[in-house]
Amino acid sequence: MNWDDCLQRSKRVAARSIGDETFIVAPSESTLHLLPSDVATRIWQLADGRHSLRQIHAAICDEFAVEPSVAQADLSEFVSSLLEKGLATLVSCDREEELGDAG
Amino acid sequence: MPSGNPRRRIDGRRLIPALGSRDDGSASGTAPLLPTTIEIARVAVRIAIDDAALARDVAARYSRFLRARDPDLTLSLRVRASDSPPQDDVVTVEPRDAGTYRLARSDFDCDLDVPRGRASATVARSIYTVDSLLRVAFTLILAPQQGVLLHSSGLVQDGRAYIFYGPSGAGKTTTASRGGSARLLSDEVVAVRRDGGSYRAFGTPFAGDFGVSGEDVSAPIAGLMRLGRPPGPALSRQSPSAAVRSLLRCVLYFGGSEQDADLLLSTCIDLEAAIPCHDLRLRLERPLWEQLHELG
Repeated sequence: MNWDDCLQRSKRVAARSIGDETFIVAPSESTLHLLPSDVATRIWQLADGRHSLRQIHAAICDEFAVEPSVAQADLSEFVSSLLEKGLATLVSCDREEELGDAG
Repeated sequence: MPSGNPRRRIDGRRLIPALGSRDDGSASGTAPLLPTTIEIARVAVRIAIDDAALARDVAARYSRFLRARDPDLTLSLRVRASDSPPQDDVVTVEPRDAGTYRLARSDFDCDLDVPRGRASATVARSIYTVDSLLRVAFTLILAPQQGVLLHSSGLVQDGRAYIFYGPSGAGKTTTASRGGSARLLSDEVVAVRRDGGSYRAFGTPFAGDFGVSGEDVSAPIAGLMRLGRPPGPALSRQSPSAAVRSLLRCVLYFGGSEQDADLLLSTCIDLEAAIPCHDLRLRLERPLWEQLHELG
C-alpha cells in the first residue's frame, strides 16, 4: 500500500451519514455496508481522491486521541477492507485534475 | 343493389389487421393477451398474459387488488415453452438508461421501462414467478415516488397503520394474526410511500408462507416497530441511525443504478425522520393493542 496514493471512494455506490455512522449501498451487489464509527466515517469523508493515505492518517491523528502507530494499523486494515469490497480505490494523487468533482 | 344483410361498421379500425400487429403497443398479435389490471400503492399495472391458465391464476391471486382504470404501466408476459422451475433465487437488476432495467432470474427475463410505463417479460408458467417478478418491479416502480416495499407485516386499526418488521422468525406473521378486528396490510410485504408531508402504508397481495393476501387498504403510518423478544422495555424508541440501519435491512432491494441506491437511502432517512421507529417486545399474554397504546 503506497501511502502517497490518494483514496478515492467509488462513484458506483450511494452513501449517507447519520451521526457517527455511514450507510453505503452498493447497487451492483444490492448490499448494504455500514461504517459504524466516527473514525471510519471521517476516513470515508476524506476519501475524495484528493487526500493521500498519509494525509488521512495525519488528519485522524490530529482529530482523534490515538497513537500514530495504532491509527496507521487501523487505517491500513480499514482501507484494505474498502478496496476488497470495491467501495474505494487507490489512485495517484497526480490525477487530481482529471478527477473533477469527486462527489 | 344493396343486399338484405346490413353492412357491419368498422369504426375506423383496419378491416384486416396486419399480421403480427401490436394491439397494445407491446405484445405480438400472434396470441391473445388476457389483461388484468392491479393497483398496489396507487400504481396500476396492467398485466397482459398470452396464457389463459396463468392469466386466471393472476386474476385470482390478486383479486383484492383488481382495478378498472388506465394503467400507469403495462406489463406484457409471454410464457416460456418449457416449464422449468426456478433454479435459484438470484435476481439480477441491470440498469440501462434512466429508469430502464433488465431484470432476470432463472424463471423470468424482463425489460422494464418505468418512465414510459411499459415492460415485457418472458416467464415460467407459474404464479410464483409472476409474483416474484412483480415484487422486483415494484421496488423500482415505487422508488421515484419515495416508496419502498418493506419485508414486514402490517395492520390498520382506527385509520392508522402499524408496521412490524424484523428478521425471519421475529414474529411478523404472529403479530399480524393478533390484530383482532384490524385490517391486514400484509403478513409479508407492506408498501410504504410518501404521501404529502408524511408516509402512508398500503396493503399488498404479496403473501408469506401461509399464502394470505393482504387487503386493499391504506392508512397513514402510526409507527414502525422492529420486533424483538423480552426481556427489555415493551416499547422503546430507536436512535435515528439504528432506525435507518434496521429499515435498510428490511427493505426489499435487488439493485439498480447508483441513483436508485441514493434514492433508497434518502427515502429510508426521510421515513425515519417522519415516522417514529420503535423496538417492540411483545408479551404474548397481553393484548396487542394494549401494548401499542403508548404510540397514541
